[in-house]
Order: sequence, then structure tokens, then C-alpha cells
Amino acid sequence: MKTALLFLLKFVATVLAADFVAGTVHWLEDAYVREDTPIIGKYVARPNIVHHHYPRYMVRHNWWQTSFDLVLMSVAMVIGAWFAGLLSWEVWLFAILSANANEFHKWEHRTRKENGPAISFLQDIRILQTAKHHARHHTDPKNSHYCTITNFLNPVLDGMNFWNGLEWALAKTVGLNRREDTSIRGHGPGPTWLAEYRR
Amino acid sequence: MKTLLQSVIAAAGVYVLARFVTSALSPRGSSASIAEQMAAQHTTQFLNNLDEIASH
Repeated sequence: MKTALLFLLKFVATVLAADFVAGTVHWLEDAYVREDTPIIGKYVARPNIVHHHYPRYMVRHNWWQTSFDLVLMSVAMVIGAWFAGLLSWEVWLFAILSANANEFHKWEHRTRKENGPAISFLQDIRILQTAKHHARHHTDPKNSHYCTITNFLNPVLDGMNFWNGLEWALAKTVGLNRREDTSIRGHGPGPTWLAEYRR
Repeated sequence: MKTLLQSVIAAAGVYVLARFVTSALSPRGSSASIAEQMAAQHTTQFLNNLDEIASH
């Protein structure tokens, strides 16, 4: 009984850890990666800007297009853990969830019919994040609900102003200010290249 | 050689497991083609959710 409880606790903690890390990456992308950021700007900022202007655009992408960057990061993490002698089921679970974080995110933008019964059921019983919960991230001023795997962490982190506090601290200490989000009403119109996604 | 082998196994393991989890849950043929077909029909649904939330 004690072993089963410990396993359950470790499982839940690993899921929440993956949700938190995915949320942190999402926050960094939304808040600080700009189009002119060296190397990653083109690959991270552009899709991010498109997603905030046209949230449904991402559902056109297949699994690999949606997840390749997170899969590569997860592979690097598993290799690192293996060489360090730290490879465990928790690391595997964390890697699998992290690799799929953006796929789970995509499911929050798909209809129930597109998702099918299995995914819709997991969303209904709150094992996976619901579309309605994620919609809050896309509601102005679009600076909350960064975690996309479950519904559980966002109320806690946003309730304690976690992301806003980090942004305030970064602005005060190193002068790093949040990127302008042109998808917010009154902050547009957004870059001209967005027109090619308006279809 | 062992290092390379470990890396290949880890990469294949993450790819196969991650892909398996999501494909097992997804309905058959749910990738781009169906999504594209349905996008035009359902594009407004997400925006409707936002309006619904904003109105509460």
C-alpha cells in the first residue's frame, strides 16, 4: 500500500514537473523571444506570434512538425541522464510528457470531433488540460495560464503572480522587458508577414 | 562506440514512446488532412470559447 502510494505521488509530481517546465518554456517564448533573437528567433518567435494571432493555425501541423524541438530536447535530457547514471522511469515519463507538451497544447485548440473519444475523455476527466482552461491564455492581456499539460498548476502560479513577479524581477535587475504582443486588442496590427497565414 | 549506441537507443526510445502515446490516443487519420478539412468549419469554435469566458 505504501509502495503504491509512493508510486502515485512520484507519478503526479513528475507530471506536474513536466507541466511546470513546459509552462516555463512557453512563458520564455511568449515574453522574451523576439523575431530578431539570434538563432532561435526565426524558429520560436515567428510560430509563437502566428499562434497568438491565429490560434487554430497549429492544428494543421502533424505530430513531428508540432513536437520536433521538444523531442530533441527530451532526447538530450535522456542521454544526459543515462550518462550521469540517473536514468529512471521518472526521467522517461518526464521526457515523454515534455516531448508531447506542444501536442497536448494542439489538442486544446482542436474540436472534440478532431480529438476523438480518447483525448476528449482525458480532457473531460481533467487528466489533460481542457480547451476552455487554455482559452484563458488567449484572452487579453494574454500573460497567464502558460502551463498546457494539466489544469492544476495555472491557478496556483497565476494566483501567486509567479510569472508577473519573474518579469518584474528581470526588468528591475537586468533590464529585460517583455516583448510586445501585437495580438492583444489595441497593440496591433502585427508584422506584415502575418498576412500569409490569414487563410 | 558504447556512447553512440546509448545515444541512438535513447533517441529511438523517446521518439517511439512519445509518438506511441499520442498516436494511441488520437483517432485514425486525425493528422493534417482531417484537421485541415475541419479547420474552415470549426475555426470559430475556439473564439466562441473566448467570448464565453470573457462574458462570465
